[in-house]
Amino acid sequence: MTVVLMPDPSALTDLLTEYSGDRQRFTFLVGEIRRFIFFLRPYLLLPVVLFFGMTGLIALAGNLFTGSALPLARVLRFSKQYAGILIFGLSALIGLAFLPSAEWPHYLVYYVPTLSILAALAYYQKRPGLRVMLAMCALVIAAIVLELIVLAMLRDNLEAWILTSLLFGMPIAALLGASWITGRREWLVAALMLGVIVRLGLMSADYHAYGHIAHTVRERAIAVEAETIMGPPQLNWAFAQDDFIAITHISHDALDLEFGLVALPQIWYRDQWLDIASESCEFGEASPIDLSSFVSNKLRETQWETMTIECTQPPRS
Amino acid sequence: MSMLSKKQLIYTFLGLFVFIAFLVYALLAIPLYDDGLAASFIIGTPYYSEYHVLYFPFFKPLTTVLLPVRYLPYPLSFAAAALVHVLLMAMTSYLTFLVARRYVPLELSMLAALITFYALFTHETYMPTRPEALLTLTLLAIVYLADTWRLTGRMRYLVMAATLAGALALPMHTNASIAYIYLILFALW
Repeated sequence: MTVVLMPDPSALTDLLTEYSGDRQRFTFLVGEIRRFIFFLRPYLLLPVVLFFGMTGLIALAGNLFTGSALPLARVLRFSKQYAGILIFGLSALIGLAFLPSAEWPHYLVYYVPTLSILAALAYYQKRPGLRVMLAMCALVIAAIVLELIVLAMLRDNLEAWILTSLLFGMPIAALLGASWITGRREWLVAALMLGVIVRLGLMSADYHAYGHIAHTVRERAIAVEAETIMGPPQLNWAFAQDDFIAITHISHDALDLEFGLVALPQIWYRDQWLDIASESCEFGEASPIDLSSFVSNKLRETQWETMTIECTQPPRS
Repeated sequence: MSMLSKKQLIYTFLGLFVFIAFLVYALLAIPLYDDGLAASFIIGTPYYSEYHVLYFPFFKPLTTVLLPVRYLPYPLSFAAAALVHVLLMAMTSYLTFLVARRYVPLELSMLAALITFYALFTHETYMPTRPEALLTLTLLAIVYLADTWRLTGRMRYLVMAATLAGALALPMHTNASIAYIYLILFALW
């Protein structure tokens, strides 16, 4: 508690006061279910989640409804056998759903170890009979065909990186399925390796886009002799702190710069910030920054532009 | 010198692949919005958030872990923070293996660790300067130590788990409540 309270004890009460007014901090069970949907959002994780979800359900059904013991007795036996792991998962659920947290995907990570162990357990369960296997194969093929049709229809509206992730999701799903049916674990490893390679490829595209944005902004700032650069906080790491001001969704103060360059992407608080800033500042003409269409939502936006900013407001206190 | 068996070769290849993937990940990682906010108390005044305009009561263990990022790399690079992040990711996968090993056979534990690695690796909001990476690792260490106490009966392991919960998890984030709920439920069980 000393570490939390020092050096300014009022910081804790200030932060908790801010949190208490934020309704997003209480998620409850419905919010927690919504959070779980985020497991499907990283598209390279999607086939893996669906695969282990499916094998998990089959393992659950196979264990509950075969043999002579009652389902409840089996559940109790399982709970006792894996209590340490299950208690960890349950603690995460109680901590996130019933105590103050937020409905963000970031917190899904607390469930990952428990779910990974349960997924591994399901994978090693006795496999179902040939008929069930064939029915599932037909289902997977139908799903892939359907996905291909939908992707073909949406290809002009989908961002390139989403399309790539979804397309590579298909061989990943196929390899996972083949591994499960044949029992060859090499294919499972190959599926995960493929996912890792695609992920690194997508990261590489983002890396180059980020470097390009930072370089262009710096060049344009030099060209117009701007004393300060403003931009979204992720550019904090590309510029020295003393010549960069981050624009955030909570920075609504009057601006204390005389002349600078602002780099603005299509962020959700863009219009709100522009409205506030335009009360005391004037903006020059906007110049777009051209980016490859192959940029993930890690940059959250694909349209960036720069413009000069000149403010008359006296410095904030 | 004896030749490596096929199994050893596969494990060596897999280990090398994961190692290279981690390195490339650290090189290619870019900051997101939250990483930008966190920069103010990692590369700025320690523990002070310019955006909340207050000394941030949480995140302190992570800020301390990332302290060398301010001084060691020149010019300042996000890759240094990402390198710490992949180390935490690797340790989380390994601790998943150790925890799973208490309950399931070796091969199954390895698969659990591999799935954890993949889930963390592909998750887009698992960020280098947010506390989830260090807090998840701390939580897993607490689970492992509590399990060791259960199996050996030695109280020192439970004391170590409780110390981790208080000294590392609590000042990290409000989600440290998970550690306390776990310890209470585990003790009741």
